[in-house]
Amino acid sequence: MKNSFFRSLSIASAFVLATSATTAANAAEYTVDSSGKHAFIQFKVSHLGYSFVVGDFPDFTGDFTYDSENPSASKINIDIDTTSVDTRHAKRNVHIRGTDFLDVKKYPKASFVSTSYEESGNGAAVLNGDLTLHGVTKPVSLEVTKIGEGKDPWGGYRAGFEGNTTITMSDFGIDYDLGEASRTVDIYVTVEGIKK
Amino acid sequence: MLKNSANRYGKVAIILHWLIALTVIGEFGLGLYMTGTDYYHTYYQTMPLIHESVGITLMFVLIFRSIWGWINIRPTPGAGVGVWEQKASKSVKFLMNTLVLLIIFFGLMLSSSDGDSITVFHLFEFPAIIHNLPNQEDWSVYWHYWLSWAMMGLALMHTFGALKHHFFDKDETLRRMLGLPSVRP
Repeated sequence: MKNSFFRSLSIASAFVLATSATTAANAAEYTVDSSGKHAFIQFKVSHLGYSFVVGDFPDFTGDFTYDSENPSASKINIDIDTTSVDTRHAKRNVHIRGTDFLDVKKYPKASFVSTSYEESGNGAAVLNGDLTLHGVTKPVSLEVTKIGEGKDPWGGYRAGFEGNTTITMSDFGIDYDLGEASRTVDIYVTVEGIKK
Repeated sequence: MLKNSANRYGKVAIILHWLIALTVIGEFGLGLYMTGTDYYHTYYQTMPLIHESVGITLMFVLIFRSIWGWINIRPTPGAGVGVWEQKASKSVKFLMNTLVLLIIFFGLMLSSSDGDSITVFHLFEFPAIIHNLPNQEDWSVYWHYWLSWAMMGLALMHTFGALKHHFFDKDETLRRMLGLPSVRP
């Protein structure tokens, strides 16, 4: 207990030293740990109003800047490979990749580029940005929680967040009729960044 | 006669030929139709089950026909059928057989992509063959679709050939496959 207390104290002081050595304009840059799979983009769509289909986009990359001293300067970019969409059902995957939904041949990429980040205390924040999906770009707002940051056991430094939002498929030009309960998609994102 | 003779097809060969022809065309039509229906079609769930069950049954029937072909003599082509026609029809038949088997193979690969077995008429489960290859469902469905169109092209050529023999050459080719008696003694 004592040990870990001192360790976290030393991490904290190292962090304070590190951050005080840099200016606010020189916020830390992070690469989203896609290769280590410490980042997930999951989605959930109602099935007939009785249950949910859950899926994810396993292949994406991104980077962000975050400075706890000046959180409102934070930025994030995410590039998603839409062809990787997976719902654990081969034929459904083929259907979702096809022209009824994501049309991944025409739109192999989706992206999110942040426009603003507002922390409201306790690690809670609102992240606004432009989501490009199915060739349509629309502003989207995510409820974000900063989970934590600190040294990892292998000599690096990491920071992690999670966020939620709900989008309406037809806003992005996806009009396939799955029923009244299935017009929206709940999206859950969690990313861990490794400091560059 | 069940078995082939030197110049006639037996009943088994004839029944298999027409059964396979109807099944292949039916599977093509069903496949095309069921992938184009919307989510609320009454048979949205059952059409793929039927398509898969029929496809796997067809595979067994094709295997049986190959064996039947090996243990039977091949009737010699009727009089007046040219050498190039024999060669062409042989190539088309070989290609059609290969294509149908490949189409079934890619269909199986598609259905196997996530490792689940295929229910055949609720009678038995056909196990997944290979799964987890990169993008397996995408290229499987691609080849399953385009080879099916190629197959329909060959079937059309095969049909034109049969009709040409019947109406232009006025020979026995189509009558033999229909099991009709010879018009010439």
